[in-house]
Amino acid sequence: MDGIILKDITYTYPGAATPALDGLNLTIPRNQWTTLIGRNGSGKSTIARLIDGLLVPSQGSIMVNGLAVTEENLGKLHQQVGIVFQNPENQFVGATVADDIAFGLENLQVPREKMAPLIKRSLERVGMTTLADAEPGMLSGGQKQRVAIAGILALEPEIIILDEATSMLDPAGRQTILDLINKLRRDGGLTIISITHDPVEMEMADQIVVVGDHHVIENGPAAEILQKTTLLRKLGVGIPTGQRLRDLLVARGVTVPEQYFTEDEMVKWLWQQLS
Amino acid sequence: MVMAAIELSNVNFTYPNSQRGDANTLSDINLSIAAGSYTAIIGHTGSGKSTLVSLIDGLLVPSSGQVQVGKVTVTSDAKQADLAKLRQHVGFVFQFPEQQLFAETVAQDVAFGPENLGWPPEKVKAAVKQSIADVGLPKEIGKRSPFMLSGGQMRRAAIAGVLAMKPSILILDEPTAGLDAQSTDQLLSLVAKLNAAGTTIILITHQMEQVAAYADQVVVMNHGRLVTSTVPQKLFSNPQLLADNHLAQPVAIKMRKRLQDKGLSLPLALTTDDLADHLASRIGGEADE
Amino acid sequence: MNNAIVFGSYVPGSSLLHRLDPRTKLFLCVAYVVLVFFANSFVTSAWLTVALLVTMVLSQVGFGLYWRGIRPLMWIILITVAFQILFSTGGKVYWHWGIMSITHDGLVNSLIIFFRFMVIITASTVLTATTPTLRIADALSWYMKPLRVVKVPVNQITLMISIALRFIPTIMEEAGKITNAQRSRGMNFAEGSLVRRVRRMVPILIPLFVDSFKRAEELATAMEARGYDPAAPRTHYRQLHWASRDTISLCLFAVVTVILFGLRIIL
Repeated sequence: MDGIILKDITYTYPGAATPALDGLNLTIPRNQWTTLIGRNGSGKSTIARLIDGLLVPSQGSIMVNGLAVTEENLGKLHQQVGIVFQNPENQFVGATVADDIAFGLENLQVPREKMAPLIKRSLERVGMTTLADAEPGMLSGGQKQRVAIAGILALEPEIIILDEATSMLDPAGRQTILDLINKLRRDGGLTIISITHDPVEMEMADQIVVVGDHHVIENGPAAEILQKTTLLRKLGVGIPTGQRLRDLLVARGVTVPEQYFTEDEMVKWLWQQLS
Repeated sequence: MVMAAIELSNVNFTYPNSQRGDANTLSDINLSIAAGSYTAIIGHTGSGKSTLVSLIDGLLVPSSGQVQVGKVTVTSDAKQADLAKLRQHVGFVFQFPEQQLFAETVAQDVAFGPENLGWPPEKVKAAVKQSIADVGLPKEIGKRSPFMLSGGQMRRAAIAGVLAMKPSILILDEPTAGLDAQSTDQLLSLVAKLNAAGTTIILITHQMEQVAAYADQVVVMNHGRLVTSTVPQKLFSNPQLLADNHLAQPVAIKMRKRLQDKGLSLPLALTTDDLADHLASRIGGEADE
Repeated sequence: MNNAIVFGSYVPGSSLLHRLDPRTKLFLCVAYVVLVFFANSFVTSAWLTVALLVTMVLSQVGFGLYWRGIRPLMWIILITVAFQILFSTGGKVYWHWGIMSITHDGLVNSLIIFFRFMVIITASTVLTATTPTLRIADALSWYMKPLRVVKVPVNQITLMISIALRFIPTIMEEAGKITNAQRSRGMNFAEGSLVRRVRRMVPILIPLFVDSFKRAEELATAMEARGYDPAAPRTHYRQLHWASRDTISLCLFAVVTVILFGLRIIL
């Protein structure tokens, strides 16, 4: 019962005329990086909230690594699934960095003497040990998002969801978050789900799921989905560099093999053609 | 010699109550921006970009030195009336401008600026209608509440509110932050169109692709100082300068560099389109034979 | 983005006063304010002023910083004092015009009010300058503990206060940004009647409300995702530690009080 299994999910927001998700079926593999893409309002964030039990589907069932998403399991779910939201400011609860990381531990009723080492360790993992006593006003957006990740790591979760977590950051902040997620992936033991419009972030994923029209349109290995540039354009998401250059060359009458090009592969291919 | 729309001479700025050193202060800024130009202001977060443009809009007043915008000159003892006059010519699209929407309908919100300028009702109405169309919103949206729109529509409604004042200088502080690729392209081509029609554009951005594709002048800020004011071609052919100021290279420059490292020589291309042109002419030439 | 020192902001440091338990400081501050109302003469007032000055020196926060914290409130104080001078009656009349007059009692009363205002504001500034706001909230919740018996949700209230304090700078910054955005759209604050000026706040207040509600909603979701359940018991990371310096401070305060009442009896 590994991974996250959403079966025949329908969800309608209160007061909305049409359902946000309508009979959605999706399996997200364990210990991999899966990216959800799609237009704004296509239901990507709804999926994230359903997995964590923040929303209750009107129909269908969800299993998270063998745990059914039900009212009784909410406490366990919130521990196993951590979400980093879009706005770094609006998820910082504590008055200082350490306090904020403690917030989740307090909710889980972790005894006080066990908190300090947990906080210290998770700050080490996000590289922010020196800022334990900093107040939110002193931190950059990227640093706040790292604190949010540290707060999740302290709970020793199995799944971490990034809901457009880098979209409000400057390039430097975005890069530190992506590097951090890459590091966590290498450390292993985490299922990563990211929701994004950023081509760089999309390229880092193992799997890409395209959400639209209230259900899953496409689902497959990242390289396979990213090759479908017409679809990506239609969704309004950016196209990774290698692939974009391939399209531009094709448009100029150059014959380029039908395959997915990363930036590296594109440089290599160009060099072969020109040298 | 093109007339300068904006001229900053020996401008220093510190917040009156600032506690410690350099945050949000500007030192010795000299800058000239030509009328009708498209200027990009870049620099890492906290480098002083926003403070600089706030001075150009008269939202802040220099501690010393002078800021000249059109015929208005602003010094440390500037009067409110002068600053108000200056703001009539300068439009400022703030970061996440949708946060400034307040009126019951989009049309009323867009009319706020023109009404503050004391325009007659017919003129206000015409300006509202036109700017809603300019930002690509359907006419009917004017009657709707701004709070019922989607995120992208709210952004456009807010921008319409600035454009309705028909500013001759338009400042945009990271206008595409948080937008998807498609909306980003639409917004940038709108700005390019305004520029082509004669509006002076000042764009704060973190996206080097935007600088490469649109700007004809680029200003680099770092720690409250103006590092350089130059043309994009010069800036992007100086990797050291970019690195020193924590700036990224545009994708096309990066790709060209990687190909050159492998021993291929290519002419300078700022955008992926230009790069593709150069490459296609080289590869295509071989394919013809 | 604004670095202005506002009334009640914390000045980091490691003085004796900074290290005192916030419960001690909160109690001392409140008790001192009560004492101020018992000062009935020049000597007793001077005695309390001396006590306050000693505390200010011990706090190692420069007098300049204190002054900058108090200065914005000077207008309110001066207006109150002016009203007191002009509109209170009794004793010898020095000057009068219509319902306004300057009398002996009026001058004395206004002097007392001025003194009380100044020392009370200064004393609370000493508290807030040496104690981060969240520590004050901690102390407050400790004092509220007995209320749990009568089913007051002390923990929720404490969390609410600490979140409110945490978001004050955020909302202030937001307000500044919106004000600038509307100013750049030609809004002029300085002109017109009071009613018109108040009406001009609408384009600032509505976006600010909308933004705050949005923040509140997002924060609530984030808190729930992190396992917060208002009904469930929670542990507490931050704890208060009573030290001998706290006991000593209370004793010193008792001495100040005894001397004050001693002076009252003697004089």
